[in-house]
Amino acid sequence: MKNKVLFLLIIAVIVLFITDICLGTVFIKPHKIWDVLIGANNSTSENYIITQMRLPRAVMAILTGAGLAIAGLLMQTLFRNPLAGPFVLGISSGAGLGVAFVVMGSAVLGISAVSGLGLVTASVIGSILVMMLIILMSLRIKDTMGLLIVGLMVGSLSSAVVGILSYFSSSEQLKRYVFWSLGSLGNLEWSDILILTIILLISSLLVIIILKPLNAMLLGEIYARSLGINIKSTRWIIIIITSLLAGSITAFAGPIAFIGLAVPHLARLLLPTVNHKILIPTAVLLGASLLLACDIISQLPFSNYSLPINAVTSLLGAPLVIWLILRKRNLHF
Amino acid sequence: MICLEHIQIGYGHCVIAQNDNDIACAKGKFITLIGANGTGKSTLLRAISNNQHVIKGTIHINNININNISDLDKSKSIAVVLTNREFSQFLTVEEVLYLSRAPYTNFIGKLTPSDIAFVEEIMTDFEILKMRSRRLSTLSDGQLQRVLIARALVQDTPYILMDEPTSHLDVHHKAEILLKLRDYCHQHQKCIIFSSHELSIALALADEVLAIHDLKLTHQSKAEFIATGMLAKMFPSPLLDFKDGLLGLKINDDKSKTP
Repeated sequence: MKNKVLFLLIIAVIVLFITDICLGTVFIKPHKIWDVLIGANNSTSENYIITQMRLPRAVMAILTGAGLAIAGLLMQTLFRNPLAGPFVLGISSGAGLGVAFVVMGSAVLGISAVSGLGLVTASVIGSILVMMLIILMSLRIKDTMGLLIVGLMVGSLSSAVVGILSYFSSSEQLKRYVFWSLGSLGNLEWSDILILTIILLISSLLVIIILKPLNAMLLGEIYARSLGINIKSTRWIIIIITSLLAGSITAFAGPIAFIGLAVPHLARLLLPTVNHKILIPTAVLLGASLLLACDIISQLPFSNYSLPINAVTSLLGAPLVIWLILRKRNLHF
Repeated sequence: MICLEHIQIGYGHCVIAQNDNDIACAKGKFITLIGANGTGKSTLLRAISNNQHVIKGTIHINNININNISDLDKSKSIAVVLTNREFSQFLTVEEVLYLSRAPYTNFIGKLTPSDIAFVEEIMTDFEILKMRSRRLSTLSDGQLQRVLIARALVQDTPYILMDEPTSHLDVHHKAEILLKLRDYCHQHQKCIIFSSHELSIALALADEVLAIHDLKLTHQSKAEFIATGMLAKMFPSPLLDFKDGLLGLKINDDKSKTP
């Protein structure tokens, strides 16, 4: 059963990946992708579309979906709360705040034009600042629920500051911020994708280290500690992984909602198990395929328009989760 | 041997139980911990298992100060049964038991055939084989308590601390499981300390009694405990009658006697 699910998900990722590259404003035949990759294609426009636009975009969808799924799952296990997601610690709010400062506060700060790189930098700085704040807090706050509430408060604070900034900003600046907050998987360089890949690999290694503590934490923190699990260091590693993943993904793709919250639930319902050894690979594959699917839909194939990815993830995902809960009656956790 | 030396437990500066001498709980002893509500039974168990709420005094396990024992070593020496229900309801019974081999498994939690055989043995002994693949959310409170007791035994530690392990079981199963635990304790030379409000069953089966009364923690053999008439002192109540010895709990129901 479990192997079958994993196998089907791998197939799904491959099929969706190829579909995502083929579909778009212009249709590209699947075999052309191979030709381009081995350098046997002579059409420069197709070469460009594939290597500089669609391939990075599809790879980005996989990395983002996988990363957010891991982060969401870890947060749900750490906080023992089904509503937790990768952004509960206020990481995306921090990134948003950084971007808001750069985009909308540029007049005040005396910066004129802001490049795309500037946005990414601001977002990384914002999420790292929030991450450090949370880690400092976690030194003092011993219980996990307290940390959750602090994270939510940090989120509220950031939103408030963003609100004030937007109130005083021009419509042009506001538009720019709104566009960032709608999320986007495109317009990325291969070097950006390399950075994200490295972060995802580091995170995966860290996840392997804490697989056993993660499973023990399903018994509750007190039992886990009585089993010799170092709760403190596990908590630290979880916070670091989540901050790295959510922070960097938000920096490059904007605050992508929903995937991190919903994918772990979908994985648990699909298997069904709470064992992280099976749950994590499933969530990774499920997150990747879901975001690929969302990306395919967001580009509105065969048209000249595209939708913001953040709207599509929620439009597609929210009814899916509601349907699953209605069918299964309750959301096990 | 668990040694409590000049122990004072409580919250902040407020002592709720103390003993000015040394208390030693030895292997092979089935020890009941009794006391009225709120006297500090759970606090004492937490003090021993986690060194929490200790105001003064020291706790030694096998002559090593508990402060100097790593979490991992402690997990191989003390197992607990708690009243809290923080675990994921989605876990199955056997998953809970397998997870409790954590102190002995490698960094990724791989079970060896001997781990699995040990869990099978405990499941057979405590008659939970039939519910092994059920999720915790589907168990009754009584079944869950059996699983939690088995979970502690799976950890295979010389010392086991149980906080009201049988409170949700019916009277037959209370007696049955405590009897089973006592035999297990004697057979495998474990030291089991369990708190209980089931005075008659607990006192019938225990070898020794830890009692908390009037801010004092006492440790006596069962015979001593009964001879000193501690029960009547601990539970002064017009509704109870201890004159029949320890087991003769009677309710003086005047209304039924007078027509």
